[in-house]
Amino acid sequence: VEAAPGRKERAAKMTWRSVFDLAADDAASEVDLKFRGFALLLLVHTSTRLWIWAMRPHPSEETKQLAAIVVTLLALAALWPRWTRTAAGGVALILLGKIIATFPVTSNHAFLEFLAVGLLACFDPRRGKERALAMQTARWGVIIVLFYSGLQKVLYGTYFDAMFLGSFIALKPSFADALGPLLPPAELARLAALPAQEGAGPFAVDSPLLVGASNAVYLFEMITPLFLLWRRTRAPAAVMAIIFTALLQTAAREMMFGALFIGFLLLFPRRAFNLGLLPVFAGLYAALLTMRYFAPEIWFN
Amino acid sequence: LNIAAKRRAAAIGLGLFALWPLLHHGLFIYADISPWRFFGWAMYCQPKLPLQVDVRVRRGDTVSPLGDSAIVSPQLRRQQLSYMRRREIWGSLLPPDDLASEALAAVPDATGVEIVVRRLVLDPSTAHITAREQRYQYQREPSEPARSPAGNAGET
Repeated sequence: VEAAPGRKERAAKMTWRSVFDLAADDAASEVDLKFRGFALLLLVHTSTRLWIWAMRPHPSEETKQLAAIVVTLLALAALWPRWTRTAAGGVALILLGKIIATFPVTSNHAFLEFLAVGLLACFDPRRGKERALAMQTARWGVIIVLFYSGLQKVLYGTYFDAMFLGSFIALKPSFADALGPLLPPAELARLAALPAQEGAGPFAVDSPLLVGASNAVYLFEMITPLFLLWRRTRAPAAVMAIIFTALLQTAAREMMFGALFIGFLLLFPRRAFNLGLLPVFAGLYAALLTMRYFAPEIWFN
Repeated sequence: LNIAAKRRAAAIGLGLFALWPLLHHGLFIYADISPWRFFGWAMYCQPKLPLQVDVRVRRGDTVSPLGDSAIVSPQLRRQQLSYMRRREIWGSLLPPDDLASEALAAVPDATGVEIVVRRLVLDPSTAHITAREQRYQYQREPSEPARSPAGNAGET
C-alpha cells in the first residue's frame, strides 16, 4: 500500500507545478496545434542547419552530408504525428553527435537546438499533460536565454556607453552598415578607423541615440521575460520580442539563430501562429540555403 | 517516467540551465574562457580579438624568441597555432604544457622555455583594447627532460 504523500511532499509538488503553471497556456485547445507547429519548425530548422554545415569545406564532408540527409528524412517522417517523437529522438542523437564532434567550438545555437529537439523526444505529444509540460519547459527556456543575454551584457559592462557596439562597428563592416545611420558621420569615421590592437580606443560611442539603443538592448532582454510570464502582457511582449529579435539578429547577420528564436517566441501568443507561419519559415530557410549554395561569400550565421 | 517525474526532471534541467550562465561568467573572470562558447549566452559581450602565443627559449640567463632558434620544426609551429586556437576558447584552463614539452624537445640546448600568452580584451573601465598577459615558465629537468613544467601561470 502506497503511503499518502506528506505535507512537505505535497508542497514540493505544488511548487514545481506552480512554477511551470506560470508559463502555462491560456487556451488548452491550442496547445496541440502549437506543439505541432513548434516540432515541425524545429525539424525544418535543424535540417537546414545541417545542410549549411554540410556545405562547409571539411575533411569529413561525406559524414556531414549523410547526417544532413538522415535529418531531412527524419524531419519528413515527423510530418506524420505518430512518428514525430521518434524522428525527434533520432535528430537529437545526430545533433548530440555534432556537438561532440565540434566541441568546444560548438555554438550556443547548436546547444539550444539540441535541447529543444531533445525536449520533443522526451515528452509524448499524444498525452495532453506531457504536451503542456513540454511547452511550459520550452517557454521557460526562452525566458532564461533572453534574461541571461541581457544580464551578461550588464555583467560584462560593455553596453552602458555602447563600447561593444563601437568595437563591432570598428571591426565588422556589417555592423557599421546597420548602425551607421544612428551615428554622426564623424563619429562613424572615427570608429571605423580604430584598429584591433592593444591601446586602440576609445570605443565608447559619442552618440546619444546609439548609447540609448545599446542600453535599451539589455534592458529589453531582462525586462521582457517578466511580461512574457504575465498572461495579460504575454502576446504584446511576444510581438515586441519578435520584432526586437528580427532587428537585432538581422543586424548581426545571425539569420538562423534569429529564425530559431522567433520560432521559440511564437510559443507565447495564445493562438498557434507558428503552424500558420510554417510556410514563411520554410521559404526563409529555402532562401538562406540557396544563398549559401550559390553565393557562399555572403556571410550569415 | 510518469508526469510527476518528468516535471521534476524538467525543473532540475531548467535549474541547471539557469545556473550555468552565472558559473560561465565566473569562468570568464577567473579563467578567461571565451564568452562566445560554452553556452553561457554571453555572445556579443566582448569582441573576438586576436590572441598571441609567444614561445621563448631560455639558454642559461639568455631568453630569445623561438623564431631565432636554429631548429623550429613545422610540427612545433603547427602545435603553436593549434594551442593558440584552443587557448582562445579554453583560456587559462588549458596551460601550454604540451607546447612547452614540444619546444624543449625541438631545441635540445635550451635549459627552459617561457610561454607568453597575450589576450586582447575590450576593457570596460577604459573603453580601450588592453592586453592580459600570462607567462608560463618551464625548466628542463635532467631526470625527465622536456616533460616537467617548473611553475605555472605567473600573471602580469
